[in-house]
Amino acid sequence: MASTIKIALAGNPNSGKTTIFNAITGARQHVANYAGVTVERKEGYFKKNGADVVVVDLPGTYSLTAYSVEEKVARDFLLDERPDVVVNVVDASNLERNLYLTVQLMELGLPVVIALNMTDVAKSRGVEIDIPRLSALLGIPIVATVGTKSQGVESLVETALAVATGSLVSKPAPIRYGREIEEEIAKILDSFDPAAPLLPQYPSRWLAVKLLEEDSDVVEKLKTLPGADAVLRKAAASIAHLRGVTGDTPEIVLADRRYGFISGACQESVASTVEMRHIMSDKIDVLMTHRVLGIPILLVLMYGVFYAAFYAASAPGEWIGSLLGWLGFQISAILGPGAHGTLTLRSLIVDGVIGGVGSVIVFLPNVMVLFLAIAVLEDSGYMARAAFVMDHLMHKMGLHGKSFIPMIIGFGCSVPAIMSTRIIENRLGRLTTMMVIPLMSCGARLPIYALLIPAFFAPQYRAAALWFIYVFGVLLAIAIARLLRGTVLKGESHPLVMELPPYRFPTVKGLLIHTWERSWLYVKKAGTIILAASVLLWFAANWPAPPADRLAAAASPEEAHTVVLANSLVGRVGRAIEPVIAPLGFDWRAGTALIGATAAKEVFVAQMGIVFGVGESADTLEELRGKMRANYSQASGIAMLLFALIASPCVATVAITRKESGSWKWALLQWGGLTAVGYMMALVAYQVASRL
Amino acid sequence: MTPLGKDIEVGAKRIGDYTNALPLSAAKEDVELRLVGTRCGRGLCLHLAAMGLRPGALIRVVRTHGPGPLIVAMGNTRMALGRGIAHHLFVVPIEDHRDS
Repeated sequence: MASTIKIALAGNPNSGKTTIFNAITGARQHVANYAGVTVERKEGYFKKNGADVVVVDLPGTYSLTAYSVEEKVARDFLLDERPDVVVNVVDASNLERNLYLTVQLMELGLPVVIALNMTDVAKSRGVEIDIPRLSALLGIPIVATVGTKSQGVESLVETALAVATGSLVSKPAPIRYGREIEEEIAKILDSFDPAAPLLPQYPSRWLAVKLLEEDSDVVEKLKTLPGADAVLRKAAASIAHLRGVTGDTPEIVLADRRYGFISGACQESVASTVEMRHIMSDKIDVLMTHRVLGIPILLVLMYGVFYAAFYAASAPGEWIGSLLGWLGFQISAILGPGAHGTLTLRSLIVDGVIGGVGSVIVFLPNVMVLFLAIAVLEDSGYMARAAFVMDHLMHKMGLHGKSFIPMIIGFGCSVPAIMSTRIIENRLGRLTTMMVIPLMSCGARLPIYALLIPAFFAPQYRAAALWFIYVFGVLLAIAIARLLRGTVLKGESHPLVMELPPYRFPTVKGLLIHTWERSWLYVKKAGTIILAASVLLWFAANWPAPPADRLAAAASPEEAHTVVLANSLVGRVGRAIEPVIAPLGFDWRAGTALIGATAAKEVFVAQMGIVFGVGESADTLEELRGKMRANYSQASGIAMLLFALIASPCVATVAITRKESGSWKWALLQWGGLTAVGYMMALVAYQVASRL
Repeated sequence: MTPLGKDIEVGAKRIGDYTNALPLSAAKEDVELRLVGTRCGRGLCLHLAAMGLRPGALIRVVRTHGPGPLIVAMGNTRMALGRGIAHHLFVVPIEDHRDS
C-alpha cells in the first residue's frame, strides 16, 4: 500500500516519550507549530512496507482536560486529525498514574497501542507486570520497551502499523462509571439529536462525559451552536443531581471512577514488592534540593555552564577564525586588493560577508557548548530541581518556580524560552515571565560578551565579569517581574505543582539531537538574517563614497577607512544619534552596531567587524579587540555590555512575544520598557565607571 | 497547624470524617500519610487528581523547605508542591488513620 499512515505519540511528561520518538524516527524530524498556537509540533517520518509513516509527538500531558494549552492542543489534535493509531508511552514504574491518560485516550474511541516503557526500571523496583493480562483487561495491544536502549522499538512500530492498517485489533474496553453516573450519561445522550449532531467530529459518549465534567472548552464550543440549549440544560440538571447524590462535583467523581477502573486492572495484572523508600534520585536530591545549599549549587552549576561555553570552546573558535582569515587573504589575492571606499566584489566578500557572518560563525563552538550544557540540564532532570529551589524566591517576586525553567532556556535563546512559558498555567504569571525573558543572556549575546570582555578586562577578571553579566540579568529580571506583578500584571499567582522526574543519565543521541537542532538554527540565522544584515550594513558603511580628493589625502589605509565610513550612510546616521548615545560612552560607530543588533544580537559583533574593517586579518577577533581598546574606554565597554544585555530585544523575540501574548501591546511594552531600562543602566554605569 | 475552617467546600464531607486531618503543610517529614481531601478550584483539583494527588492517595513528605515549597513522594513519583497549595491538601497520618 502507498498511503500515509499517521501515528500520534501521547504520554505523561517524563514517561520517556521523547526518547521513544527519537528511537522511532531518528534524525528525520521536523519542528513546526500547531495551527493557531505556538506549541512546538514535532513530526518524524519513516517508510515501512511501502507506506509513508508520519509520527506526531504530542505535548507531554497528564490528562486531556482543558487545564493547560498543552492538554488542549493534544486533545484537539486527536479529535480533529483522527490519527490512524495512538501510541501511548506509559512509564511502567509509575503505572497507575500513567494509565489515567490511557483511560482518557480509550474514551476518545481511537485505536491505542501502549508502549510500556522503562520496564527495566520497573523490574529493578520489584514491579512485575503481566502484560498479556493487562492487555486483555484494557483491550489494547501492549509492547514492552526500554527507550533508552532502543529495546522493543522495532516491535512497537510493527504493532502500531498492524493496528493502523487493521490487521491487528485495538478495541479499548469501555469504561463504566457506575449506575448513577451512567444513568445521567444516558439522559444526556438522549437529549442529542441523532439527525443533527452538534459536534459531529466528537464521539457522543465522550461529549456527554465532558458535559458532566463541565469541560470549559466543550461548553464554550456548544454555546455558540443553535439548538444546544436543551442539551446544556439537561447537563446542568444531571450535574446538580449528581452533586446531591455523591456530595462531590461530577468531575471529581469521574476521576475517582477512572482510577477505580485502573486499580482494578492493575490489581489483576501487577505484582509489586515493596516500595523503595530511598531510590538513588532521593539521595542526589538530599544535596541538590538542600534547604541551604540548593541555591549555591544552582549558581555553581550555572557558573560551570558558562565557563565551559566560554573557555572549553575557545580553541575551535580560534581555528575557525584562522580559517576565515586565510580565506579572506586568498580571496583578496584572487580578486586583487581594492581601494577603500569602492564597492567592489572583493570588499563585499571580505569586508561584508567574512567580516560580518564570519565574526558570528567564529562563536559557533561556544554556542554549541552552551546548548549542549542546557540539554544536559534538561535531560538529566535537574531543570525541575532548579525550579524547586528557586520557588520561594520566585514566589516573592509574584512568580513561581516553574517560571525559572523558561528563564534557563532563555540562556540558549529567547524564542524557545518564550514558547516554553506555556508550562505556566496562570496567564498573568506567564505574561510576566515572557516580559523578562530577554534579560536572560541568550546564545547570541555570548559573542558580544566574548568580544567585549577580553577587550576590556584583564585575564583574571574575565570569568567573573562574564558570570556577573549573566547573574545581573537574572537579578534584574526578578526585580522587573516584581514591579510588573505589583502594577500592570497584578493578580493572584498559581501554586506550584510539578513532578520531579528521577535523575537520569542523558542519552548521547538525545543530547546530540537537542544540541544539533538549536545549533542548526544559529547557523541558519547566520546564513540568512545575519548575512542579509551584514551585506546591508556593509553597503551602508561604504555608500555614498567620499569625494576622491579627500580619500587621496588619507595617509594610511586606516585613515582612508575612517574617511569612507564617516561619509557613508552608517556614519551619517551614527552621527545623528550621537548626542543621544554619547552620555553612555558610545560613539557613532558603536551606535550603529547597537541599532543593527536589533535585527539579531550577533549583528553587533558583525557590524563592529565591518566598521573597523577587520575582515582580512589572520586573527580577526584579536585585531578587532585591539581596535576597540584603542577607541573606547573600559567604562564604555561596561556600558556596551549592559546595553547589549538589557536594551532592544531582537526582532525574533518581539515577534514571538506578540504571537504568544496575543497582542502587540505586550511586545511593544517589552521592547520599549527594556530599551528604556537598558539606556538608564548603561548611562549610570558609564557615568560612574568613567569617574572612578 | 491550621484548624479546619468553615470555608472548606470541595471534599469537605470526606475531610469532616477525620477529626485528626491536618494540612499537608503542617505534616512532618518522612511520615506516611493518606490524602483525605483537597480544597481548591475545579481545574486545579482535577489537575492534581490527574497527577495522582486525589483523596485516598498514600503520600509522604520527603522534604520541607521552611516557608518555601515541599517535596512529596507518592509511590515512585516525586512532586514539588508550593507552600500555598500545601495548605489546602488535607492528610491524616497512617497510624492514626488505622485507629480511627
